[in-house]
Amino acid sequence: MKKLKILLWLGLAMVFLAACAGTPLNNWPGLAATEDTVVLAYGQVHVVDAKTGTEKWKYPEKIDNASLIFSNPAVVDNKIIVASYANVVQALDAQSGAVLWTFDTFKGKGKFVAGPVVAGEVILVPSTDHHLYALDLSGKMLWRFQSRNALWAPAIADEEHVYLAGLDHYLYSIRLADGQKEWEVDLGGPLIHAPGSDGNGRLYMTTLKKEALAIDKQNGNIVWRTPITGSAWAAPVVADGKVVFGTDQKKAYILNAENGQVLASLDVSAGIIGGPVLFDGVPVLVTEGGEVFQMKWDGTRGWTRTIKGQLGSTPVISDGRLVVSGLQMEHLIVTFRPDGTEDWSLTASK
Amino acid sequence: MWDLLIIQPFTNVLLLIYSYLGQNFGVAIILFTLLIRLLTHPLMVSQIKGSQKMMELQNHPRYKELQEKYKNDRQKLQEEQAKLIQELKINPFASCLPLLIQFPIIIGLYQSLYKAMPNTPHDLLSLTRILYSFVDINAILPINNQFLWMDLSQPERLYLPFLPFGIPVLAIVVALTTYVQGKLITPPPSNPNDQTAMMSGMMNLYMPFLMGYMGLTLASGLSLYFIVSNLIGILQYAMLGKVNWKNILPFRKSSGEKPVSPAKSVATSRKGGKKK
Repeated sequence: MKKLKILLWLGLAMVFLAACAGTPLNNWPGLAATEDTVVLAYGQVHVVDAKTGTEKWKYPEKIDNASLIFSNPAVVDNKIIVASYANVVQALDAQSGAVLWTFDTFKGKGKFVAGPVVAGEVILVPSTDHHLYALDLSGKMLWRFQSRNALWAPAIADEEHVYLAGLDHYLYSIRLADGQKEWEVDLGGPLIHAPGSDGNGRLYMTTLKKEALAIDKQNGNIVWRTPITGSAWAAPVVADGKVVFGTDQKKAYILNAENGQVLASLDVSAGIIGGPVLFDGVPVLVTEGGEVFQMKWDGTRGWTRTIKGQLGSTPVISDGRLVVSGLQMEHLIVTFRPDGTEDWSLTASK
Repeated sequence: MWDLLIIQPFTNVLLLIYSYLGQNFGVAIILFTLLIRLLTHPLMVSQIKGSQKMMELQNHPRYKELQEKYKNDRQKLQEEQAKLIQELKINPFASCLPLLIQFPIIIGLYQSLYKAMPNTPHDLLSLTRILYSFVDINAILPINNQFLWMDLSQPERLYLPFLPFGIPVLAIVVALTTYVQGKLITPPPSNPNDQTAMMSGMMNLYMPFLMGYMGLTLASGLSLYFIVSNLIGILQYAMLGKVNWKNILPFRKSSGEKPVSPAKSVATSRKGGKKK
């Protein structure tokens, strides 16, 4: 009986280890694109020819669990900028994948859950270590801005300002030149995606408090607030005076950008996690159920395609194709033409 | 089913404690571990009693007689031992069953700790989908993972100004408390050369390394749980008078001790435990 007990304890230890192995850091893949290249960040970075779907290179060659890359990469000046869970930013040569520089001053202090964005000559990367880092194109830190808590959303920027959404409920406006705060506003709930923006001086956000808001870029004043069903997990698309986004409660919305009025909403069969993208002038959304669908401006559905997998990444457009990715897919990437027909797909190499 | 019955309630209770008692995840882990240990205390008592009975059985004169009589006939020995167990009305599974019931609880506790500290939007989405309506994610986010010098969602290192590297304090304490707990709660073997006693000794040696390694590499919130759990475990055994304080001397020559009669050995250990 004593032996049995010892075996039971050993069993417990083994199950414990198995449980540890079964809880890896996990997220939806990040996507970026230029006219001729698609970049996928799914633990490692895959760079793919946008015309043929041929993988050019990947980095690192094998997934490094200590330095996973999931956030959307940025592409600038023939460089691909990636940010990893090790709190390290790297610039890779877009042609060869060679590492051009590494920013690892704050390695291990947090994680880069959100991807880098490039504003002119400045790379902006928010970290879970509560800081937004601004680097120049050679990887040298220009300034860093401290928020109250972890940052999971990419920043957005115009010529002079950076707008940063935090889990701490605050939306910050920061001067691009020196990282000084201009204003901050408590939006009443955690912010997990970047703001949407238009040319009318407004930012559009949703919060986990299940609200959509418009904020004045000049002073942070809240212009309108609209309750929504569920939470949006990715930045809305703003075009033609309308704000488009989907929620985890199986709803897609089109709001009037002027006053927040719901112009149209669409019920879908699964949660929407990725953001919409304008494809051929029409919003396209993806669902966790593997649906890829057009939501026309009048709120009706256009074409719908279903593929295997949980589509949670915001799609990108490259060489006239819609590029989608997600979890538990047969392929790493699937592409579609404007009429909704499937084009090339990328399968993971063994 | 596992998520529904174990992970979901555990995670919700953990976050409920967090939201009502200080909004500090370290405090929530300590209180939650205490709560789970209290709830499973009757199982532990039953397990100890079962073990005690089995130990007494092994020291029973008739059991010894059977071992001697049928030492060359293993099958017959097992049959006769089973009869004796029935006769003495001992449930041979009384010490194992509570342990088996505790397995899912301990694993569930571990997994719910992980669930309650989302590191990525994907993890957070999974969390929001298992929360009961009375837990308001909006009110508890962002979760305060800071406890003392630690970020509970990260492996812990203590950085001192005069050292170029961080000291994994929690991992060391996890290994230490696991070792001490293993030593304190292991009853003295009736025969130290017995294979099971040797296995038990080996386990007491390996487990601290295993747990220490986990403390070194996993989120420090889990290390905190391991430490609190170990300390409460020691306390529970101590309150029941089942702690063998003499065992914590690592190189105690137990095999070199003067042999005593099995019955006397059990009695001595019990008495020693109560005294402390």
